[in-house]
Amino acid sequence: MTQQETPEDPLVLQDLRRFLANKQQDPPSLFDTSAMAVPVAAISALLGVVERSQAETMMGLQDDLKQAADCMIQNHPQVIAVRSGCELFLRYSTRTFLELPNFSECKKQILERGERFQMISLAARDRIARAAADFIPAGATVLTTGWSRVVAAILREAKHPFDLIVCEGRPDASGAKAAACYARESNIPVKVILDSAVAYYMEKVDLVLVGAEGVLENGGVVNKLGTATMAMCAKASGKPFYVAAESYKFARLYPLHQSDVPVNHQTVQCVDTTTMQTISWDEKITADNPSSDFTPAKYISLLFTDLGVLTPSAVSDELIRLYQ
Amino acid sequence: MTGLTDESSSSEIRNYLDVRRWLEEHHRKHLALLDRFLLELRRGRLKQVTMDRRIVIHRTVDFLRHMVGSTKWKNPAQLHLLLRGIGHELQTAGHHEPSIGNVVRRIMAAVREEANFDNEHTSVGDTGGRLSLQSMLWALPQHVKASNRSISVMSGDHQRQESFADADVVGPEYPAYYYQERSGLKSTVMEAMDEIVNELEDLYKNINEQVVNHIHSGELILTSGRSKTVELFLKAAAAKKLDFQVIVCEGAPGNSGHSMAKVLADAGLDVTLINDSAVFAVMARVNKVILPAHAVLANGSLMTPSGGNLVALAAKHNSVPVVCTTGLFKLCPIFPHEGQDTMNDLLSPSSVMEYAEAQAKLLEDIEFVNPLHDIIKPEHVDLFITNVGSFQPSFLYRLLAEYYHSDDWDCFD
Repeated sequence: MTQQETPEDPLVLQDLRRFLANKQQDPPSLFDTSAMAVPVAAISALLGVVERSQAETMMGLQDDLKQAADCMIQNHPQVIAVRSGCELFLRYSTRTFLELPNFSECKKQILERGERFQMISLAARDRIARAAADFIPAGATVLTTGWSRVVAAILREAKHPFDLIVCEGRPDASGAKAAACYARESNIPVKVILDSAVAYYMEKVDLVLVGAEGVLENGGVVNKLGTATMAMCAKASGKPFYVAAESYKFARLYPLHQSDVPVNHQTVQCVDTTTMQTISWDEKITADNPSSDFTPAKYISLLFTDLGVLTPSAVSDELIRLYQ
Repeated sequence: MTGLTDESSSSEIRNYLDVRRWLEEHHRKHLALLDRFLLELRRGRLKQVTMDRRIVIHRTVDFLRHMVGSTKWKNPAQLHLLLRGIGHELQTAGHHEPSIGNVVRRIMAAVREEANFDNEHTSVGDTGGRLSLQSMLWALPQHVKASNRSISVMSGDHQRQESFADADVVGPEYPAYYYQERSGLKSTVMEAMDEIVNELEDLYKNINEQVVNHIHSGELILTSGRSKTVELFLKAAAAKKLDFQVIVCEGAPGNSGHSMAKVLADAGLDVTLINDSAVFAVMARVNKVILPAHAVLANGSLMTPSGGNLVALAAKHNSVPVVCTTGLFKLCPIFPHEGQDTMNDLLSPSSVMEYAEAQAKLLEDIEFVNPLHDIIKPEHVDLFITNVGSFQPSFLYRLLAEYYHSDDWDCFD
């Protein structure tokens, strides 16, 4: 259905890519406020659809939006993030319509509020950082993985000195890049460890703090591959495991298994880094590299969101209140 | 009141630390009352009179009723600042009783609710000024407004940043409609206070109503130390003609468990007193652990008299359910950031070891530590039995949102 050549589809994708262009910034920066989060970019792209839509009725507009949303979901690697943004926006447009039955009025209202919505990322991160900073006690050792702007905001806001351990984050070394950024732009002592060293280092760690691509209805989170391993290790060692995420990452998905979560699978090359020799193998071996994994709620101590510090079970509560 | 309006700058409370000056200029009698109450709190007198901690809350509400009822505040913002200032002083003086802060926060939430009531900002998203996914999607001002810091970082205006930072110390600005006079405000706030008092009066009744769901005939119940709530809960079970046994841990070094065992035995219950170190040995036979609360924290942690964590861990090891009976006035919007040291007190070690005894045994070089409270992690508590129902620790965030406004959480720090 999404391959249909309606005039909206390519444009909405173009918009999405344009909004996210800054995100590819490499190396990342702690002070970067320009980059747009994926769900916010998705919502902004949908606002473009509303603006361009020729539809005369709410149903027509909804159809256009659904089509555009499907198109983005199928063509963007961060499926969960795009999906949460799109679902929330669709819900939002319906609610606005229920409030203002006059179609043109409603459309105007949606666009007007949408303008303000683009500022929300920054404010949300700020709110989270202020609420969560107290959770890092003086002299603590914090373990994290990958690059997350929310985590960066919290660490920057922390009131006491602490040590940071970052997992390398194979295969894109996002953790190592983040570590470089912390070392360059802050005076936090950073150590990079292999992803496989999580269990080794867990006994030295006081708390684990990670970001999220998406927060699912059961309170679990989808994040950079290796997060679930970290969470299980933390649980086994009795260390608190905190997730920081803006509330627009909440998605209505109730997965029971890892395979229920739509993630990108790619192949992976194995390199012996001691000799820099690439391992060659025949086609009897398959290699898989899922982009993200799903961390069940039972491993998560608390979620730091702009709606407050929540227990995992609060996520479904918030989602139900919006969709009831 | 008419004489004061022309010098508006000093007739208003500028920030919550300014309340004392405001009272001194306009309400000297009230200030004297405040000081007297603070002195009582500091001396811990209200605590010693009785085991019943509701007394302090009662006194606090009565005091606030007087303050709200007979001082000349003009709008919700002023009243809120007044309460915040008084709350700050009460909390500092009565730091051993966290519920004082809670009750002031609840009244402050009532002020906010009344101020928010019926104004254009809340009619759109209908969230009552609280943060929710809906208010986020609607991009309501409270979500879009970045903190002063990031605004000034973006604008690069350092002069302004300074002045903003000062303003931040003395408290957040209120929305414009907080400065409008509201005729119904006083009566609403008084109603909120009446509600708190009523809740306190029915507290034990409401908790004890649930007893049949939790205690059954033939069970072995373990509790630790002395607690009015637990005592009345067990007595209520006995009054239902349930035939059960109680084990009481003595709760060293205060040994409040001794008097607990006595009052329960006097009421005709089958009571066994054990020393705290025997907890693990008896836990295998126990059906349920009932613990008292000093405070319930925001993440579902439970603060008990020291020794509670030992009981909870032993219960966890044996998969024995741990329930806590508590009034919700003990629910604090505070996270245990400092671990076991959060809101804790260290008492004189004399109850652990008398000075003379230590000397006689040549133990002068040894440090004796006597902490007052224990913090039990939320995963080690199964249920909170409260005056408004039974809740899991993971649900407490919701009650917090209902009772207190999120902007008032740390307003007394």
